[in-house]
Amino acid sequence: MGVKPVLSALKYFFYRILTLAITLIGLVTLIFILIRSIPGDPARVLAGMMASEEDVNLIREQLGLNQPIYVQYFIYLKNLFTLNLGVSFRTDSPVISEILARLPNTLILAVTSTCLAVALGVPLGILAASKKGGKLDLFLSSLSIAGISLPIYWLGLILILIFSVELRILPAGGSGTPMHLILPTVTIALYLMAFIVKITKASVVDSMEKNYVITAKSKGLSERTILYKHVLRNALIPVVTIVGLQFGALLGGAVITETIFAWPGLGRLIVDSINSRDYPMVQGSIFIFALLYALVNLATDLLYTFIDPRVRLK
Amino acid sequence: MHQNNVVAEVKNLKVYYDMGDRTIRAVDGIDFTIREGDCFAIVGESGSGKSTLGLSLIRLCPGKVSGEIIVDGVDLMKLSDEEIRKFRCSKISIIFQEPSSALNPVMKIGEQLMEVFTVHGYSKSEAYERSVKLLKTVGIPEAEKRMQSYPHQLSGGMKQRVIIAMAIALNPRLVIADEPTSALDVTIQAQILNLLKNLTKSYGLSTILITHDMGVAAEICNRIGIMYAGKMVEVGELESIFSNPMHPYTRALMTCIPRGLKGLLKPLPGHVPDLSNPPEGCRFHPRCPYAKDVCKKEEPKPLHLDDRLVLCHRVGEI
Amino acid sequence: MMEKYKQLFKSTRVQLCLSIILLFIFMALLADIIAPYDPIEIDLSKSCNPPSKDHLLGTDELGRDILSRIIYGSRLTITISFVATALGATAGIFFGVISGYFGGIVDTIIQRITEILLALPGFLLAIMFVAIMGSNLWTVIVSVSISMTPSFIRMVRGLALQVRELEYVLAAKQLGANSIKIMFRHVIPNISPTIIAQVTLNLGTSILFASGLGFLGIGVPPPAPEWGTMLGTGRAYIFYAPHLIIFPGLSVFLLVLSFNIIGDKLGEIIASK
Repeated sequence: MGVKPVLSALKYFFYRILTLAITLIGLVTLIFILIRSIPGDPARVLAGMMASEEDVNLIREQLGLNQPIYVQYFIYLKNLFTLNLGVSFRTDSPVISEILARLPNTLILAVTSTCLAVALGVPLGILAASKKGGKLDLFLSSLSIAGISLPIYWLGLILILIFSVELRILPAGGSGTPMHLILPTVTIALYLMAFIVKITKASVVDSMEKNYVITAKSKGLSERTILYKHVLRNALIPVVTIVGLQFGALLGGAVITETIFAWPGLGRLIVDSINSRDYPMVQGSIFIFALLYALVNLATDLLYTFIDPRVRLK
Repeated sequence: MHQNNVVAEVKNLKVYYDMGDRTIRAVDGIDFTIREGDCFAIVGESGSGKSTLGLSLIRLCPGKVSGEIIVDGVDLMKLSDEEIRKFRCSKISIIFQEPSSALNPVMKIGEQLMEVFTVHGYSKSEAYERSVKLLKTVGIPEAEKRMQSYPHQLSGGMKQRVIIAMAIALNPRLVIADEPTSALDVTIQAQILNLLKNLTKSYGLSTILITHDMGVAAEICNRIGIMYAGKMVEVGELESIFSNPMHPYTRALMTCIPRGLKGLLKPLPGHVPDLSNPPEGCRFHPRCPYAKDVCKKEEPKPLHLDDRLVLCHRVGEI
Repeated sequence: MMEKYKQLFKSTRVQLCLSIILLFIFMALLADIIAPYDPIEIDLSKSCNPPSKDHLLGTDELGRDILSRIIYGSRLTITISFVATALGATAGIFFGVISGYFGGIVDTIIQRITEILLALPGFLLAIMFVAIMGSNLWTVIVSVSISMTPSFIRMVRGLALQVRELEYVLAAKQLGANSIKIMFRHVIPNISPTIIAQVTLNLGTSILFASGLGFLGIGVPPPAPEWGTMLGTGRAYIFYAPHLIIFPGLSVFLLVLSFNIIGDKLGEIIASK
C-alpha cells in the first residue's frame, strides 16, 4: 500500500467517527427533549413520584435544572461525553464505575454466544444451501424459522426447566463459574444460530446462481471445489457483515437473557434501574449501549472493506 | 477443408426445460458437424435457443438434454460427471457473453487462471508460468502484475481477454464462444474479434461462435448455421450462404446487416415463437412472407443441396 | 399479481398458520363468551394448581385460570401487534416515500433522524421509550411502533428510489402529474408487495417486543393478562409450577411463528417474479 490509500483510509475512518459522534449527539438530544417534554417538574419526573424531596433536589443540582435550558443542554452533553454520567440514586456510586464493572459480563456473553452460533450456524446454512430443496434443507429451514420465532425469554425458561429443574445438571442463574455461562450462552446462541442459518443459506444459494459458477464448472472444477473455493468466498462476505450487526443487536437481547439468568451484566442493570427509577443509571447505560453498538457497527464496516476486495477505499 | 478431420459432431440434439405445467423445447433436434479449423457461426435472434445449445454442448445446461455430442470421437452424453469434468477445458471450452459476471469478483485473476491448469494436473509453479504466458498471448500488458489484480480492476475488454485465455489454456479441440463481444463497446468488439481470429489460426482451434450478428459471423467464420426457434433452418459455407441465402429467414437476416459496425438483429416483424408452444408445421411460417398452406401443416424435412442444408418447403420456388 | 397471491394460499403451511392466527383473533373477539373464568379474579386457595378438568391449563400464583388469561391476553397481544405495526408501517411508509421520492433536504433530515433512532438496537429503543414515558398499554404500543419505524423508513426509501426512476413514473412526472398523485397512483402500489411482506414479519416482531417488555416488568402492567407479563411473574414459580410459563410462552411462539412463516412465503413469492 502506498501513502495515498493509507491517507484516504484514515480520512474515511475519521469521517465515520465524526458521523458516529453526530448520531450519538442526536440520540442523547432526543432523550433530553423527551425527558424535558414530559409535563411537570423534570426533576420530579426523573426521580419518580415516590422519591424524597432530597432526591429531587439532588437531581435538580446534578442536572443544573435551575439554569436556562440551553445551559442545561450543554452541561448534559459535556457530562455525557466526558463519561461523567452522574451518580446512581440507588447505590450512590458513580454510574460509570457501576457500568464498567458490569460491562465485561455482557461482552463475555455476547462473544461466547456469537462464536457458538457462528460455529454451528454457518456450516448448517451451507449444508442447507448445498442440499437446496431436499429433506435436510426443509428440516434446517423449518428449524431456523422456528428458532427466529421463539421468544428468547421463553426459550431461556424452557432450558432452565429442562436442565436445572428436571435434569439438575446446570445452574438456573447467577455467575461465577463456567457452568453458569452455559445456559445463557446457549439461549442466545440458539436464536442467533437460527438467524445465521437462514442468511447463510440465502447468501450461498444466491452466489451459486451467479455466472462465475458456470465459468468455474466450464473449467472442469468439481461441485465441491466450486462450493468451497468460489461460492463461499463470495457468500460469506455478507454473512460477516450481518453477524457483525447482529452482535450489536445482541447487546439489546442481553437485557432479557441477563434478566432470566440473573447474569450481572449491563442489560440487567438497565432493567433493575428502570424498575427502581434510577434514571442516571438508565440514561448512562443506554448511552453506553449506543456507544458500544456504534463501535461494533463501525468495526463491522471496516472489516467489510477489508475482506471484500471490491470495496477499496477511494 | 479436410472432410475427414471431424472434430465434433452433433446429432439430433434436443434440450427441453420442464416447467411443470409445460415443456420448453429450446433446442429441438439439431445436427451439425465441425471439421478441423472450422469456425462455425450459429446465428439467431435472442430466444432462438442458441445459448442453450452452447451450454448443452459442454453439458452445463440445466435442461434435459438428449442426442449425441461427439467430440474427438467421444460421445459427451455418455460420460460420467467425473469424466466430463476432465473433458471440460481440456477438450472443449466455452467463452461467455458477460465478462464482468463470468469472473469471480473476489478472486485474483491469476488464481482463477491458474485453476484451469491445477485442476487438470499441473503443478502450481507450472500453472503460474503458463498463466503469465497466456495473459501475454491474449494481449494483456504487465501480465505479472495483472495476475494479482481483481476482476473489477480490469476493463470489460481486458476481462474478456482473461476469459479467452482460460478457454484456450489447455489447447482444446473445440472452443464455444457465446456472444463474446456483445457486452463490449464497439471499438473493443473489433479488437476481441481480431484476437479470436488470430488465436484460432495460430492454435489451429476449431470454434463455434454463437451470435445474433451476421456481420460478426461474416468477419471470422467460414461456415454458418442459422437457428430459428430451436431448429437449425439453414447450414452452409459462409460465401455460399451470403451469395445465395435459400431460407426466407436467412434472407431476412441478410437484409439487416447494417453498413455500420454494429448489426443488431431486428430482421422481421413479429417475435420468435413461444418455445413451449411452437407453431405447427414450419415454425417460421407466421413470420414468413412466402408461407403457403403446406408450411402451416407439415414440418419441413431437411434438404441437402451440395454442402447446404435447408429446412424449408419452398426451396427453389422462391 | 393476484395469481401470485393465490399461490400463497395454496401452501398447506400457510393455511395452517392462517388458521392459528384466525384462532387467536377469534379468541380475542369472543373472549367474554368463551373464557371459562374471569381472567383477573383472584382465588388464593387455588394458587398454582396444575392443569385439571376444571382448569385446563392450570391456575397461576394468584389462583387465576391460565386458559382464561391466555384467551383475554390474546386481546392485548393482537391489539398491540396490529395497532403498533399499523402505526409503525404508516409512519415508515409516509416518511420513507417522502424521503425517497423528493430527495434533497427533506431526505437528508429524515435520514439523519432515522440514523439517530437506529443508534440503538430496536428492542433497546423500545425499552428507552417505555422507561421515559412509563408503561401502560399505549406507551407500549407507541414504543414498539417507534422501534420498527426507522428500518421501515429505510426499506421504503430504497424502494421509492428505485420506482422513481421507472420510465412510466418519469413520464407521468413529465406530463405534469402532481407529486401526491404520482405517489399514490404509482409509487405506493408499486412497492406494496414488498411492504406487505415486511408488515407481516413486523406483526410477529411487535409481539416479541411487546411481550418482551412485559416479561421484563416494564410492559402492560399487571393484573392485565399480557402473555409476556404472565411469563415474567410466572418464572418465579418455575421450580414447582412450570405450567405457569409453558402456555403463555407457547402462545407467543405459535403466533409469531405463524406471522413469520407467512411473511417468509410472501417474500419468496415476490422474489420469484
